[in-house]
Formats: sequence, C-alpha cells, structure tokens
Amino acid sequence: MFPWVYGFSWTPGHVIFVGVFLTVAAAVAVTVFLAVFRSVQDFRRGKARQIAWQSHFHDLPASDRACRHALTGELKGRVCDNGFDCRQCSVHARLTAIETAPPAGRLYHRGHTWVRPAGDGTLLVGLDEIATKLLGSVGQAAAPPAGTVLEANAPAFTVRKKGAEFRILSPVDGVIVESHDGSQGWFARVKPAENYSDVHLLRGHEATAWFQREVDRLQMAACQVNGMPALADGGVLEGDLSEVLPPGVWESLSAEMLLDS
Amino acid sequence: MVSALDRAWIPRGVVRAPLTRFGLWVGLWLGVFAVGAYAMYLCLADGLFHTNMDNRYVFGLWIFLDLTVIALGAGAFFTGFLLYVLRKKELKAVINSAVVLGLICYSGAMVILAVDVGQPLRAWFTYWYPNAHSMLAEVTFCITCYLLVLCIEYVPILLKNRRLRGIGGYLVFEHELHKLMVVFALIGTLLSFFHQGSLGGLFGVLRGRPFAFREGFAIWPSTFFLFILSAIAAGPSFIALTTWLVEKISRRRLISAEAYDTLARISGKMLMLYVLMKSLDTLFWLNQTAPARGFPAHRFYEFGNFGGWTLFIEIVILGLLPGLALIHAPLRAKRPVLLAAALAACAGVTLNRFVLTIQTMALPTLPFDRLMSYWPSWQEFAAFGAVVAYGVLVYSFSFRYLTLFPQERELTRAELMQRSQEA
Repeated sequence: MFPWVYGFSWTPGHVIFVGVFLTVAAAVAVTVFLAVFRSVQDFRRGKARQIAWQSHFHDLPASDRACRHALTGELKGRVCDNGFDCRQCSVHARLTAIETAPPAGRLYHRGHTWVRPAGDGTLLVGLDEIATKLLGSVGQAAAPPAGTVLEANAPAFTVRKKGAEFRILSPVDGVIVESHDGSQGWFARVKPAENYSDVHLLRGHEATAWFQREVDRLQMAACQVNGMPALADGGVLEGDLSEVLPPGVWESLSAEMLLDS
Repeated sequence: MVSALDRAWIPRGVVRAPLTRFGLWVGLWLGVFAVGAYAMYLCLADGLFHTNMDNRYVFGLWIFLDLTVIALGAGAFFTGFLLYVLRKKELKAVINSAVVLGLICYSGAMVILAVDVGQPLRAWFTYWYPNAHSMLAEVTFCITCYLLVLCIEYVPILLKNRRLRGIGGYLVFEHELHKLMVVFALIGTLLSFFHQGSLGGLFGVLRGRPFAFREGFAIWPSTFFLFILSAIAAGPSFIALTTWLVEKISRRRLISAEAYDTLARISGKMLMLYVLMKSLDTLFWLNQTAPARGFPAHRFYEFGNFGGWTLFIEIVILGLLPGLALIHAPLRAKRPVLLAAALAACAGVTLNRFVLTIQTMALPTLPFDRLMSYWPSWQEFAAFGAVVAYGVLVYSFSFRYLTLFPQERELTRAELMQRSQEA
C-alpha cells in the first residue's frame, strides 16, 4: 500500500495503483472537508437561514416557483431560481426599471403574508385571506413575541393544526416591536432593519395576478371535492378549509401554498 | 403517541402504510435476516465447510449474486452521471431511490464478500498489502471507495428528512454537500467504471479456463468492457423495475410516465450497444480465441445442461428483444411491455454473471476432468437471504421516512383529488 509497507516495490504497477487510489481517496476527503468548511463559513456569515430557505424552495414543485413576471405574462413560463428574492434578481431589476412608483397598500410575500406601512415608521405584517382560509384564525398561531428578529424568507413562526405543522415565512427583515393575535388582521408590528428593502414583495397588478392564480389553484382543489362552493358560479370560499378538504389534500395543499416543503 | 411520532417523521404530503402494517412487514424481514445472520455466524466462526464450495469450486452462489447485485446497482452511478454531469434533469425523479438502491447493493455485496473471504479480523490486510497485479485488488479498492461515496451521497437524502432538516445546520451542510455532488458523481463514475470492468476482467484473464478467457485491449480483456456496458444497460431497467414494485406494494404512484420512459430509453440504447459488442465478442471468441487455444467452441456446450441455448437466451431473448422493445417509443409506452423488457434486461445480466461464474467453474479444464456440479448449502441461501432482507429493510425505512421520489407528493395529491371526486 505504501512504500514502507512489506510487499511494496517501485514498479509502474504499484505506483499507478497506489497513486490513483490515494488520489481518489484524497479527492473524496477534500470534497467532504470543503462542504464542512463552507457550511461553517455560511454560519459565520449569517447565511444559514437563507440557505435553509433555498433548500426548501428548490424542493417545491415548479408550479409553485413561478416567477412574478410569469404571473403577469411578461415572461411566460419562467420559473424562479432565486428563492423569490427579487432583490438579487437581475431580470426583475431590468423589468422594473421602467416602473414609476409602486402602488399604495399591501405588499405581498409569496408565502401568503403581507406587509403594510403603519405610518409611524413601523410595518404591519399579517396573513392574507387565503392563508386564513387554510389555517383558520391567526389566533391559533403562536404569534412571535416582541423582540423576535425576523429575516425575509426565514421562518417567522409556526402554526399547528390537526396534527400538522406549518412554518410561516417572514416577508421582511426587522425586529418585532408588538405582537398581536391577528384579530385586527395583522400579527406583528415590525421595526424594519436598517437596510430594509421591499423590492422582493409583490405589489399592484402583479400582486393581483398572483393572488388570482392562487385563488384559482385553491378553487381547482376545492371544486374537485364534493360539497365545496365554486367561485366560478359566484360563490365564495367560506369557513375553514381544513374541515372540508380531505386531510391529506388539505395538509399538502396548505404546505405548498405556504411554501413549506 | 407512537403513531403521532411516526407521522411527524414521514414526509409531508405523502401517504404511508399504518404503523402496525409497517411493523409486521419489518418483523417478517427481520425474521429472514435473523436466520441469515445465524448462517453467516456459522461460516465466520467455523469456516466455509458450511458451504458447498471447495478448492475446485471456489465461486458459488455468493459470488454469482454479488456480481449480479453490483451490476444491477450500477443504476446509482450511471443515473448520478447522467443527472449531475450530463444534466438530464428528468432523472431527478429517481436519483434518490437510485442512490439508496446502490448503497444497498454495494453494502450487501461487501458483507457477503466478507463472509466468503472469512477471517474478518484480517480484512485490513486486503488494503494494507494489496496485490497490485490482481484485478481483485482493484475491485476491492474501487468498491470500498465507491461504497464510501454512496454513503456520502446518502447523507443529503437523510438530512432532508422532515424532522432532521429542522435541526440547525443540517440543511446548510446538505446544501453545501449537494453543490459538490458533481464531484462525487464523477468519482463514482470513475470507480464504478473500473470495478465493474475489473469484475469482468477477472474472468477474461483466466488463461487456464478457455471458456472464460478473452482477448482484449492493452491489459484489459473484452469482458472488462462488456461488464461495464451490461451494468449500465441493466441499471436503469432495475431502477424502473424496483420503482414499479414499490408502487405496487405501497399502492402509490411515485414517478411520472415520462420518468419511466427516460429510464427505459436509456436502458434500451445501452442494451443495444451491449448486444452488438457482445455479439462481436462472441463471434471472435467462437472463431478465433477458443480454437486458437485448442478448443472448438461447440465443445463447451456439450456438457450437462449448459447447452448452446444459454448463449442464445442471453444474447437474443434477454438482450436483443428487450433492447428493441425499449428503444421503440410506441412499444415502451405500454407499461407491461416496458416492465417485461426491463425484467428481461435484468435477467440477461443475471444470466451473464451466472455463465461466467457457475458455468466457468463447472466446465472441465483437463482431459480427465468431468463436469462439476454444485448446489448451495442452506447456509449459503440463508446468508444471501439476510442480505436481501437487509436491503428490503433499509429501503423500506428510507421510503417511509425520506423523500425518495420527489414527484410522489404531487402525484399523491392528484390521486387523492381524483378519488375524492369519484366518491
């Protein structure tokens, strides 16, 4: 095996044999070491939560990863590979360069949370109507306490229902200054981080297009289950969907719509 | 309580058998494993006299089945190569299952080899004092290194478990490891290329056994290349077959029709190439190699049950016909045809390994020799049964608690919807 081991001789056969396999063993060891080293570096640079989100994101079906510009028809069929973080996306920057000003009102995160400026420098964060229909009232959620640091795309809190568990993603970076049970529509008042940016959140016509698609998706699931109201004939989704949809379908659909793989 | 804990570990959006049924299934295979483990203990503690192998018949059931599972496990490296290196994205649907199958096949083969070789306390001698001129030394090193690579490839699948992924840092490590997977795919390909080849080469260099001896290129006999080709032809078929079997047992749809089609198409193309090369090699051996060594080739087929039919079945029935069925799109679109062809491809490789181990050992090599016969002892059957049981158990637990088929969730939801609509 090695020159100092009995039986080794400096012949081409031995040298090639040992050389090749030690090279392979070294390549395997170096690659594993590199993965460990990079993981430690990621932790030190505070990228861990972002990477965890990326990992979850890439496990989602392609239909759930549709680009915001695909929803509006600007880029047909484009799938996001950026974890819905449009702040880093060159395509989004190019397409939005011509926009003048964002419409007022709520800004939506694709995990069915929304953000609205409260007027005092803080932001109100809440669950949208679809998430509320899927999960029931926000009061059932363990709303994060004041002082909790939020990071965009990282889990903000967890909702447990019917034995299933869903993590709700934060739409913004910041610190919670006040938490709420959701009875007024929001569950947290957040002081935004210094470098806060809302570029990654959906707004205006694209939020409308996305919301419509999500409603359609919910409707598709609902209309295939007997006894569910159909929006197409003017009905509205009422009540708690967890009570109406088959348990397996409800859990899977909720998880996908909340981007929880 | 136990049921809730079990449910919390099962991937979201998929349906698994109730815990009691799963427990019965595991119990059944644990029983098979226990009998085999006892047989292995007998062989390791007392010696190989518990088997029906002897100094003349040194390769028996274990080596034949080892060669077979290693060939069928080639789907792991080949799928990894196609996905990570050649970017065949559609194979993402089966890569996790392929890795688990590869891990089972290779680790199982290693265990049975360890029993066959014996003296486990001296196992490290193989690595410390290798005979660099032996094909077996290359096989030992390559299989060991590749098993290590398969274990590393299994880690990201494990870390993506629903519960484990929540533990801080696991997903980060998984992410970083996954980014480097192309390196492991390349290393796996290199190692598999050489150990699959060397397993074939091992028989091709047997000058004292003209039935197996083949000429070749440089230091490698033609069997070196034929083993590689046959393994990568059967590997995707084996993945398709096992996936279908798991679908039947779990009563779930796991991959799309497109994924089956891709596996079948790749397997078919490689099988046709293999059949072509095998036919050329056989013709050369029949007309050149064997006569040059003083044996008209037809004489090899005059002993016992090993007639020329083995050659015909191996090349035509279990090679050419399934190959044609798999490359012909309308034919492989029919699921029964695809599965029958995949089964035939796997059976063809199995027969090839049988011929090269059992038939090669059985045929006489000296004028006063007679055809040798061999039937494995119960310990040999039981030991291999233990390896099969081990494989079933590892796969069952992996299937229950890990995401082996990323498409399963969407397919399950569609199925639940349809069922609900029908009700």
